[in-house]
Amino acid sequence: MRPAENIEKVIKNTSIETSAKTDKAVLEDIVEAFGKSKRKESAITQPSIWRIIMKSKFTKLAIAALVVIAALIAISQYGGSIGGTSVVWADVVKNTEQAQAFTYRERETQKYGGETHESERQCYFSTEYGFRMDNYKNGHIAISTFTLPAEKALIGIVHPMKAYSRKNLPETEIAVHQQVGPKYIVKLFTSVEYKELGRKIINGVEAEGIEVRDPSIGRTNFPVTSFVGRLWVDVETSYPILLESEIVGDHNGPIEIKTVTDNFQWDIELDAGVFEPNIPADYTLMKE
Amino acid sequence: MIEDKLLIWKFKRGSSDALCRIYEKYKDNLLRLASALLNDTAATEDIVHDCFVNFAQSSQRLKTSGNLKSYLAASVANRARNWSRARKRREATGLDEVEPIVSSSKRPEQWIIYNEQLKQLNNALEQLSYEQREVIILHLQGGIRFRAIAKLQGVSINTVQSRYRYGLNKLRSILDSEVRL
Repeated sequence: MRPAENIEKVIKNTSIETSAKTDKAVLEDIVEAFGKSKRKESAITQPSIWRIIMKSKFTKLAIAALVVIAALIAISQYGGSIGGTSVVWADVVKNTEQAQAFTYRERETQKYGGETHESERQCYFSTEYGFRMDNYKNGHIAISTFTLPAEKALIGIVHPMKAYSRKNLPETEIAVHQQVGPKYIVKLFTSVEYKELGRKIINGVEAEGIEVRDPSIGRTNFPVTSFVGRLWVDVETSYPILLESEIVGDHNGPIEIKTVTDNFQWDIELDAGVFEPNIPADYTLMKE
Repeated sequence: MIEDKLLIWKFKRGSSDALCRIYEKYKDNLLRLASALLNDTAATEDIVHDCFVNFAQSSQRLKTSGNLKSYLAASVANRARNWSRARKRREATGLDEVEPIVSSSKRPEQWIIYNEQLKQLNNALEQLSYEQREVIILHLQGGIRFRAIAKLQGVSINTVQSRYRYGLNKLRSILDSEVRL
């Protein structure tokens, strides 16, 4: 070492070498801890149909697939009779159930840890081709997910990372995927106790709404202290035009999630190309 | 910095690739930092390993704001200080023999491969007080500002700057005398 006039420079620039073999072993430990941590997070949380429908981040497709199984259980518990609802709401359920293809937009504001995150999703559903969700962040597409019954596959594309993930979907899970989204929310909202909100004009359309405040609906990966969901339908067509939810809970600190689902286009024709992932050639396959 | 923000964003959303990139990007720096603070190979490796494992488990708690490099450096510094205090207690009670300054034999599983410059610098740094050493290393290798170090050490910024100045002077003198020898 040289005399110490440049001692600060020496300290800054002193290099260290590491054993590649140990590097790899340590990294494996770390990734394993990460995986366990994520599994633990998933295991301690309650399955949430609302979360699946309204907040599918799809950054971890494998976990998402597992959650869908939980959704199947939830459907068997909550679904079924819609006795007690008015004829109008029964028509809404029937219309949405019979819709072969539709699109909608979801916007979400999440306040957590002193930060506010906003995201937007554009969703496409077809009983024939499957389900596609494009997640936007700051106006740019970040993650696209495709549930493709014909290929029995769940594909996630993470654009900022130039990476994608692919998971095989069993028949049972495909059936569940056909049931999620606004179709199921409508069924869910009308099958629990709700309050009639009367009529109002939304974007020039006369709408009638209901409000539900059952925290079990808003259950997510943290304890929920309050949940409010509102469903507004076009009086003339009996199709939903607006879905709103507000979830407040505690996730190592207060958390608040507001979701607005609108811009519905019901029972339209969607081209098969919409459900073609078109993964760019330079994207790499992510390991699970 | 922008890359770090993106890495944290991806990491918080479950990306193992982002975690691997963070590891590759900062492991050397953290090993160097811990090694300079502790001058103990096994403890350095354990602390950096634990720091990364803990980091991997903290994705949900991690905030996207803040400096990732400083965050990791402070995490290592806190662990190193605890380890150092525990060593002093062990020495004071005579429970353990004092461990060698730097392991001269490379164990098969050893992570760090020491070069002469690093050994010499670490041995010189060890002759400073722990507080002086911590200020110098956190500032120069960890890239942490004096104000943040003051908060970490629970002292005033003036004290931190004094520790830095006196520590560097002493280090110069130690290294100069070694060169003369």
